[in-house]
Amino acid sequence: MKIVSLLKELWASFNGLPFFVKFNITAGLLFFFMIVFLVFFIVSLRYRKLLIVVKRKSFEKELANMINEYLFLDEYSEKQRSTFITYLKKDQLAREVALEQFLIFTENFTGEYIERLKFFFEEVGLANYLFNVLAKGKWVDQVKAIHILSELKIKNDELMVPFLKHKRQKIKEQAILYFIKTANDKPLEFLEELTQELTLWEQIHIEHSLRYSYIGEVPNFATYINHKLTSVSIFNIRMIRLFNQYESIEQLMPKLNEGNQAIKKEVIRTLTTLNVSNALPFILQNLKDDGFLVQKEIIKAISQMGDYQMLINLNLNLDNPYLELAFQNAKYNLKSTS
Amino acid sequence: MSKVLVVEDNEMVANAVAFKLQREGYEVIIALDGREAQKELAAHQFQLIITDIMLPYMNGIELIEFVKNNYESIPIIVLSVANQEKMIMNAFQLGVKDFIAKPFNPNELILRVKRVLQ
Repeated sequence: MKIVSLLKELWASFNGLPFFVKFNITAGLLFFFMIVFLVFFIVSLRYRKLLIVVKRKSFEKELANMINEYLFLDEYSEKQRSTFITYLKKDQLAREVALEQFLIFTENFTGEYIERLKFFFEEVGLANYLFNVLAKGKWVDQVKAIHILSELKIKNDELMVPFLKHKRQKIKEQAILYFIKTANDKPLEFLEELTQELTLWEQIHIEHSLRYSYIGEVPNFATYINHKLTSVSIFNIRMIRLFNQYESIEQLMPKLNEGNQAIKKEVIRTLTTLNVSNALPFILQNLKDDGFLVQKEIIKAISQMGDYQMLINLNLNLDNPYLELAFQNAKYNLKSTS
Repeated sequence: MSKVLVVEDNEMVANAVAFKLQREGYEVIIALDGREAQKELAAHQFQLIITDIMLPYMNGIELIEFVKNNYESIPIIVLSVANQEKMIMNAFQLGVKDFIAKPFNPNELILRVKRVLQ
């Protein structure tokens, strides 16, 4: 009762104060409560983060121990397996930690352990979980899911094909890598499914994966040089050159009649690098109709495989300064070697 | 029972190596960086050290140098990725007994540990 009467008294004296004093007191109180709320909010956020870290640490320890037991113990009981599955069902964080750990184990181990890991991964339902993410998840989770499946080499091509046509670049990129990393042979078969041009980065990733991730036989790049997509065709012509596939020269020759200048340029460059000197007459046959970039490539081809007289006989229109530079450079090289 | 010091900054890999070694009857102590390894070396008597090259605070080469200067008799096996050629060459020049490239087969690791300890 005393407090109520005290508050009433306070309110009465507050009402009797001039306006600017009332305003100052109200603003001061508001500011004070805002500060208190903000401090509480930050502390609770920090506390929540701390709880997650502790929980993650505990998951990491438990799950790593379970995976180690599965990998290295000769006897692994049904009970241990169901404990692991229960653990994964606990919450999203446990699944995230388990996925990370499987990835780390896969990156660090080889031999029969990889097969065991893969088997265990499927057995505890993580593969199915990722398939569900692919079917219904957010696009960022889908990217992660494809990455994990490709690292663990878990095959489900049927499910993955639509992602090759996905409008999101990152998903398409991961799907491409998935097909290369999980392939035992013919790693470029997925190219048949592509409907959008390959970006430069995708081409770089494909080449890198072919060199460092794919362990089967080098594919026959000539199979895809007539692909409907220009970038795919160019990529494969370039790969013929980089992987020294001399056996594909015969299939490359008809591509010299190609109307697409970018493809023709790549063919000439490949034939030059592979030093197919008897291709020179065919390279020169449409010289006048060729564009500047192809003509520049032809000059380089003559510089490497032809002679001085051949270069002079080209009778090129050297209006373009870059073309003239290439011509003079070739002239100098051929003169000094003749 | 031989005591092995595993120096590896990735806790999961360190635990997996320790788990496998313990299964084979070795006593294992883990250090997650070079400084921690120095402390463990001062506190225990080890028969073998398995170390990574890329370590925080003190890299594997510095650790090997430290071991060779202070605990010369302890053999060392390097367990690291194969693309650090220069560092691996340095490690062999300093006298490490063996090198295992990551990714590795734990069974192979055990065979090499046994061979070095013989």
